[in-house]
Amino acid sequence: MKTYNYISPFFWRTMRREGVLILLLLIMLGGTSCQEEDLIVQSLYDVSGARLIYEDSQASKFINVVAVSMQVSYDKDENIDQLKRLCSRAVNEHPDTELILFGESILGWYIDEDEPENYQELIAEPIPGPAVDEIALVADSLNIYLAFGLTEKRNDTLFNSQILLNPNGEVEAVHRKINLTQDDLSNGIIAGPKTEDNVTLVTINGIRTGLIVCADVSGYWLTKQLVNKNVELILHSLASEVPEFVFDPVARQFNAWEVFANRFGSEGKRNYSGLTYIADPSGSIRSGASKSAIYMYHRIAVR
Amino acid sequence: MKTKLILIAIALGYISQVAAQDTKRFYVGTNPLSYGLTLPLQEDIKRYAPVLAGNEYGFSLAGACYFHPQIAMETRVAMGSLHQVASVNQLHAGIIVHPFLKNKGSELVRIYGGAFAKVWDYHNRLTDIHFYNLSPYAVIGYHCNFNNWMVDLRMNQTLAIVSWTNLENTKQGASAFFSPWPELIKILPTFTCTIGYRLGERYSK
Repeated sequence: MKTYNYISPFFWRTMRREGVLILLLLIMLGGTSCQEEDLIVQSLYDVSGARLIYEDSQASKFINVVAVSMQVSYDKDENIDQLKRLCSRAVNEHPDTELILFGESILGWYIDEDEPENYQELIAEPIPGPAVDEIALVADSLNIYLAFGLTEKRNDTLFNSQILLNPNGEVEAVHRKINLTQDDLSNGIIAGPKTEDNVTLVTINGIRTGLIVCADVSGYWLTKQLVNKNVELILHSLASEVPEFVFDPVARQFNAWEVFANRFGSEGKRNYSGLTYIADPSGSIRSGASKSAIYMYHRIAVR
Repeated sequence: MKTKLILIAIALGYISQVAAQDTKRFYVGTNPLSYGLTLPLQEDIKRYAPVLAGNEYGFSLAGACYFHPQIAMETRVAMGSLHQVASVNQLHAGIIVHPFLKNKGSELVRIYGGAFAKVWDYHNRLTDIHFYNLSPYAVIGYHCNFNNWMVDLRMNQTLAIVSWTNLENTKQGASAFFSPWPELIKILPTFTCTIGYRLGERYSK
């Protein structure tokens, strides 16, 4: 009691005089947030943690997927040929493959810094169009879902899109990238609309599957739409130079499996890491690699 | 909200305990940079500045008690939004030691080292899934004193993490942890600046 009598008057005298107002001010400031409405800026704290163990033995829905990290040529025709070859190889090595995902804008370099708009005009394709029709024959002949990124030309406008072809070789869905990067803008790309019909969700093997392109992962609006629709699998095509994290923050963001397909190698001044993986909803990377052109296979099991 | 209230209660309880003890020295403070992280900032600053704020977001409060001339117990709480999707509430506790207290008159007396543990709740507000983490970390720091005010500059290095979650069918994991981005930077310390007010007999005017 003696101690209490000593400390207490001293504490209140000093804190009243100088400290309490400052603390209250800081508490009020700490409760405010002035972030731009739609941009999610992920920090290193989003990827801090240990790998968790996700148990999927009781799953009821399955899909066998392949994520491809491709070394992309400057020439569109070479890329179409390579894409076709890689699909055949993956299905040959894993005959039960049901879906193959390639990276973002895979029909050419992600950006030609010397003439970005002219180059994108050169590799852009309509949907449907000659390149899509040719690739659709592969999906049909191999009886697989096939998704890849391309620069889409539509009514003289360029979109950074991801297309999903079904095993009949038909266009199942198209997602147009909403959250553009500075490179996209330099390429003359226009953002896809923030409308219900550009929230691209299809059902494959009973699994609610959402399509996003690269920086779409930083869009709060799109994230919220897909989470509200209970997305179970994210097909994420992208062009990324960054190496691997301890776990996958995107899977945690959506509470969904994620198939993450990138590109590998040098394109002008850019060096793509090739980081490609398949992660479960806890963020654990179940199959993944980087630093090479490679493809990853995994049987996704959804409860 | 419930978690926030519990954390505030723990922090206030600890500070009142400190005030009630038979001690002559303690301090309370806050990390001013943690508040800055809630302001509109350029994207890259927003992404990497947390390293300079000790990964503390939003409201932060620190309190310490010297129960020995060289040794203090400290606790910290911080709670705030990382971005639109996630918020983090965290509680730290540990001990700091001033090893050079015999060198009176030297700047060395202000240097300290310490060992802490922190627990944090990463809450995805869209999915309502919590990812909990417990982590030991080591610190080295320096106290700058200006009458009753002090500025505490500190470097923190995480050593390991145990993680668990309320996500169904998911078991806990644990690993050594020195950087969230080991392929790029093997060891990534964070830094903390705390502005505090020193209380106790030694500092009274």
